[in-house]
Amino acid sequence: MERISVDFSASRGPVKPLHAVNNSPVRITNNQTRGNLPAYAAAGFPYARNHDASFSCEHIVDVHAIFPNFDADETDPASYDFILTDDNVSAAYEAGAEVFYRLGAKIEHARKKYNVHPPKDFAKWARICEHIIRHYTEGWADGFRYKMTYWEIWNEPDIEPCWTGTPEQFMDLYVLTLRHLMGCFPHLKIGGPALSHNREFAAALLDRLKAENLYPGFFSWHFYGKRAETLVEYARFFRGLLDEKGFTKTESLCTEWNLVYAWSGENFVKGIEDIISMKGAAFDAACMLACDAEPVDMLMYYDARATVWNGLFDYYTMCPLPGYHSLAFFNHLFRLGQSVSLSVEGANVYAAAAKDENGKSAVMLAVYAHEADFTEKEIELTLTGGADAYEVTLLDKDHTAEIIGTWHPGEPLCLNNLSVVLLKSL
Amino acid sequence: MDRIFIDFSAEKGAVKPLHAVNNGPVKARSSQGRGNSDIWPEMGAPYARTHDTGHCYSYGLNHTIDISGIFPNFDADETDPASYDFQLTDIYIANTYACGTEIFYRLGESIDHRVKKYHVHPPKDYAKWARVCEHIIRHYTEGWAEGFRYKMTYWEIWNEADCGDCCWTGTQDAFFDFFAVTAQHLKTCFPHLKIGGPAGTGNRAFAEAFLSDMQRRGIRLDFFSWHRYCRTPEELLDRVHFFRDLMDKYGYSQAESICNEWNFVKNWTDAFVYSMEVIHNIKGAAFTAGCILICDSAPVDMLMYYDARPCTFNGLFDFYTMRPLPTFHTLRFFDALYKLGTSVTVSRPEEGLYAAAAKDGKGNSAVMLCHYDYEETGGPREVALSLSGGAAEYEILLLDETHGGETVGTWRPGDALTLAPQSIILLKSL
Repeated sequence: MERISVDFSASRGPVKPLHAVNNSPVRITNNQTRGNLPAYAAAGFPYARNHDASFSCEHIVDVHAIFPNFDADETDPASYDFILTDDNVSAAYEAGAEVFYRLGAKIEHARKKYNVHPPKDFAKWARICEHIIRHYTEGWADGFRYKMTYWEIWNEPDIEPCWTGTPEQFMDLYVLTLRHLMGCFPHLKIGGPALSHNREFAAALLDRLKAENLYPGFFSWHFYGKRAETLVEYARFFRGLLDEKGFTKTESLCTEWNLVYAWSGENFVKGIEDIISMKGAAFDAACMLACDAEPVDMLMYYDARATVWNGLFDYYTMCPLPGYHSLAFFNHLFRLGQSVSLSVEGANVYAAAAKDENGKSAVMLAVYAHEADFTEKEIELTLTGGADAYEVTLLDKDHTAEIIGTWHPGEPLCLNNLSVVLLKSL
Repeated sequence: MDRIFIDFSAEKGAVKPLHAVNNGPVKARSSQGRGNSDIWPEMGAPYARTHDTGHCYSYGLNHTIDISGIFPNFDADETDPASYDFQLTDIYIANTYACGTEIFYRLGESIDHRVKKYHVHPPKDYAKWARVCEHIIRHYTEGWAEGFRYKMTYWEIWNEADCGDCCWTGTQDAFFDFFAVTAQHLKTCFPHLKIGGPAGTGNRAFAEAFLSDMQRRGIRLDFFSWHRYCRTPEELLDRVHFFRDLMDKYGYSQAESICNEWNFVKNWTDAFVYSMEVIHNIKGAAFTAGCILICDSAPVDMLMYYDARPCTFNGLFDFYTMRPLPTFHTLRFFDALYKLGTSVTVSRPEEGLYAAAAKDGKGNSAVMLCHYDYEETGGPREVALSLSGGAAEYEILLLDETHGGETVGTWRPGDALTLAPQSIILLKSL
């Protein structure tokens, strides 16, 4: 018997955006018709980071795509090619997601690299970024006035497919760009570097920033693994590192995460198969729920674009996959607004709860074990406060987010491994 | 009871390459590695057309195949090797040849569905564009610019110029001018290669205008290429006859007729997602078999399935795992006939049943049969298969809802055969 106690009288602050994603929805067109914008909107993803968006179209998002001739005048609107990026960005806003803009280039695995080299003029590159920000937030160059809070400098400079220069060169670029953009836009959150894995790199970068007296709006890092506990360890490590180095006000964001068993061979393929299955959905739920009470400010699932990493929408049909429902469940907590205190006694069980100011409340539970030595978990769920009855919505191998009944406090809950439940107050 | 008669003594000529495809294998990377180059050769695809290669990250995206990718600065000197970026295309092509498939090179650009078009405009200098193509051909067939000496027979000029503005933003007349300039130049440079095009969408009026115009200009075509997305083999067959007749009418009797994009599409709007689902299931495999088999006896010289690239149109390999899908086995079955070499006469079955047969010179023979039920309303079809000549016994390989192309028993002439809807059988002589 696992025990979960929820205290609805003990607010912990706003529910964090732990169901943000990478990339925008696809609009349904009148030719080769398939898209996911309505379903994407219904899931309520709060942010859409646009890294790797240019896999589907080489002319979007990346700095070199928007500003294709680096020798051009960066103050001249004619030097910029915004049109397809405008379209990509607007699709996210149409679906209710705020764009989290990754300034940089997509990853390049091919033997020849094209756009992951150090820019030939760091200061000019920073000024180009400035104009991209002005286009989307201040209307520059027939632009827009979107609420676009987060601007992330580069992606995974600690791996060769994303940065062919030295770490020192990257830090030079980062420092210069950060200083320029923070100077231009003190009201926005500028940060990065979307670290792949290298903790020494992280420490060195933070030391450099401290020496430069630069305090970014956020520090971003990535996690790929098979256990929610490992993600929690990452969250604690990076928060601890930030605090230790004096960056206590800098948000800690995990801007890429998903299920991975190995990066090559059959186990890589097995991971891809599980991402789109119920196991992936339970892993997604476990990660979000585990992080609700942990020192991480945002999780951004990689990836909502049409790719093998997308456990939210089927590649062929764009219809929702099990992982979609895990994030949509969490959205219910997010919309309620206030996270509340909760304790979990037991293994492989994850939970979070939230309430609003009108007496509504909800609890989300997941059972996830990568290698389970059990088939089901009996859970004693105790509520302090909360409602008298809850609607039970179940996501498991036999139920696709279906309402299966009503739960009253005091009743036992029995959940199979790889299942997710949302209890919504009636 | 349906009756099919096969006369192994009545040779029709070489089995045609009806199981060619668009695009090549994916070689697994050391990181995030998933690929299909290990199983690709089992399919035996004789040719891989390189259209839309530039959409695929596994191949090198926009830096691969397309003229704008290989020759990125059109103002550069087209005679200077330094003006060309061959590296990722070289790798892609080498991977394809390593799997036993010859490249059928589409000279042009990937389709562009976006609101802003980048590379599907008429080139600003047609003659120079033709010379750039010439140098690409020399790179891959003559070793120019540290190149190769591949057997690369087919060179196709452009793709779907009649597809709205997705593939050609100029006028029809401008396209005809452009095509004529390029075809004339390349044929002069490479009389031993097959130069053709235009890979039309299947639009009859465009095809007729094109052939009429090329005839008027005296342009030689080694092949005329066209596309067909449809629901039944009979709909494909209709176009096969139409285009062959049209080519003959305009003096292109010697030119090959090549359908180099085809697949199942019910429609492009409300049934598009359904079409994608069919492509990946056993119904898509039966449709594919029906099309291949019906064309064995029809006046078309090659069929090129669209698409073997990781995309929604790929019914050969699963996008997520790259493992074979049912249609992979359809092509593998047909390859058994293709490898035998000589096609023989088969009586035309009733609609819904399709058959072809082949033999080699050593007494080996094979028969491929398919039951495709578009409406999904029929039941199993019992077939009385009569052979004149052939072997005394055949191994039965079955592809259906529950069988992935494995051996399920033996068949002897005179035995009854039952084909469930959406099933394909290969009989191989023992």
